[in-house]
Amino acid sequence: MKNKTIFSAIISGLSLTLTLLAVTFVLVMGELTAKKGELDNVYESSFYSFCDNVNNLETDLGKLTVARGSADSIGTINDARAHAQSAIDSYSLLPLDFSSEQSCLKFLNQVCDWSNSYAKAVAKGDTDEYAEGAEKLYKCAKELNSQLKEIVNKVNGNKIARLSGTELLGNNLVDLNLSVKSLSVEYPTLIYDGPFSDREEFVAKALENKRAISEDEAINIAKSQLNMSGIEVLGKSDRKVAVYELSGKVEDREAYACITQKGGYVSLFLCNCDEHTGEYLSEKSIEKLMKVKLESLGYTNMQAVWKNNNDGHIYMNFAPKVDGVIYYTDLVKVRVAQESGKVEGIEASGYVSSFTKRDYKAKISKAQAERGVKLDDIILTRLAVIPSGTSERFCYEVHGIYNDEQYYIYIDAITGEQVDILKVIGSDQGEVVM
Amino acid sequence: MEKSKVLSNEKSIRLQVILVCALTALLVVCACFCAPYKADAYVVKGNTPANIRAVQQRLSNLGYYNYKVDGIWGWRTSNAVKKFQRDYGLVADGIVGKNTEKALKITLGGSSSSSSLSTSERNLLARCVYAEARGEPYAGQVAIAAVVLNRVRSSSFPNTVSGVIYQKGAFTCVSDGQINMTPNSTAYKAVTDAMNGWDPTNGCLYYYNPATATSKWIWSLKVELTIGRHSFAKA
Repeated sequence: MKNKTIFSAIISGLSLTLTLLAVTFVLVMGELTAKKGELDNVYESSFYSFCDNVNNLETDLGKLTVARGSADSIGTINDARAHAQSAIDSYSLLPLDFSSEQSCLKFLNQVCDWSNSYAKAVAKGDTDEYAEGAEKLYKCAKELNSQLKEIVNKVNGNKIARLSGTELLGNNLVDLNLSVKSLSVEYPTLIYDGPFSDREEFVAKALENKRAISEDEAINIAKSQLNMSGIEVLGKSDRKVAVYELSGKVEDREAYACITQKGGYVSLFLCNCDEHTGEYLSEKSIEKLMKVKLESLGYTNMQAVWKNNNDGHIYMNFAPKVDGVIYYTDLVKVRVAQESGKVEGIEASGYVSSFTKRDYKAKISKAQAERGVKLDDIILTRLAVIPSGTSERFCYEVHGIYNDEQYYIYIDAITGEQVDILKVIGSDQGEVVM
Repeated sequence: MEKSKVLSNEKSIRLQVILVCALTALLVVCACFCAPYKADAYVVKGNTPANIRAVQQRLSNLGYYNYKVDGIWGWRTSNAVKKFQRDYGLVADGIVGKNTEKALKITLGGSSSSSSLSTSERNLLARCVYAEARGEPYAGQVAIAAVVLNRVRSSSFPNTVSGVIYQKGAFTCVSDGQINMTPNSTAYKAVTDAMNGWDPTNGCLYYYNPATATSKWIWSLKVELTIGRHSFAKA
């Protein structure tokens, strides 16, 4: 009798568990199917939006091939940029594998970037080189649009596949990954003044005519200058700059350094150091310590141009000052422990790649540069070389205040045109310019 | 006969008990498997070491926390917060929100805003680094953060940190949910270094673990350098 009761209880429990499982399963599957449907709709919408924007972009670029390159063209240039950006946004939502064709995205980014550059050139009245770019881009957009139309015909009435491969392919699905991979558009190489320009030839200017150093010399530099111990040479690398890669420890914390094979410069140093909670040294004293340190590493005449505090560390950017000109293109960055003033990080790829003697001569005076800016008070005006796209500009840096906010305005020291404006944004840790 | 009947009943009951236990165990395993990784948002304004340290220091001053002020959130910190919340009539959930922050009389949200990345992007990047490279050498963690930022700068990838990280198939930690784990202070430090320009990869856009990668495409890329378990490559 007792056994029968236990048996019945167990069977009831089992039945209840199975029923609960079944109900949960049905509810979860229902929810999943609904979510899948919503996601499929997002993919569908993104795909058609992408095709529409490419179609419009083709028209805009066609117009730009016959445009005069004057202020009248600004509207069409802005349309081209807007349609390219919308195409990028839609493309990013498509269920394309990470390893899918990325040239399409690169092309659209370059159109945006090129349009920006073209608009600035229109303002300056110097648009000759953009006519050829417009022809190339139009031809490319036309071909892309034509191939997309073929995919649209294939998709027509069917759904975009959510996964690559053939598992989900059936009569009602089109594999978008395969379709995009098969796009046979020849994307042009674009050269203009912008960050996405294809112009990229690299020469480590600071290392020209410098003596090659041995592996032992590199190890000695890491020991004496960076306090590294237990050093292991990971290898020699000749990526952009030929370096010795070293790993080791600084006070029992792991450290990594790259020493250039020519010149023996510390181009990179990283150390995972402890948090610091003691009393901090002043920024001025840390700046003095760092100037001496950088001098000993071969980075001479450096001046601090930016500082930022972060959890007991201070990041400082130093730029070389030569003949009264600050070279922002040749930065050396350091991370320093605020408690002890010890270096915990060095980053000098800017200096290594760009530092060399330049012969710039200003054609406008300081007074003329200051007359061209709208500031309530001017704090400091000095000559500077700043990065501009893939090249650099020789400018007057005018630092001043307008409506109680700080700005840096850069006036080209040769042509007198305004090159850039940076606004200083303050925080608890320091300031950033944007 | 009677005896054999009893024995057979007992066997049958034993079998049924084992079956029920097995089903229950299966249910528990399924629930654990299906549950996604959850992020612990214990400081609403941001789980940064600076914020956590500020909370620990204040609780230590008030006598609720008698351990090392290290900027790392653990069960001791959580218990101290809950005790404080109970004593001050707040909801004792262990989460430092607006009310708890006010009661502690501290100001949080001090994560570095010293870059063009927002706090949320910085936190997302730290989560990605932690999920992808925890246990790797410090230079390797900085390298992962640098790869993400290099992709943001590249014309061939989305133009935001979130766009790059959540690009389909780009990072395994997004597919398997590990992106939602809480990063440690090393990951934040690595992100800060990368944001300030440190790039051990010198512009690489891809990386993989040779021990686990199966994609033919990724193996076809030219390896520029190796740090820890990861090989880094450009296009």
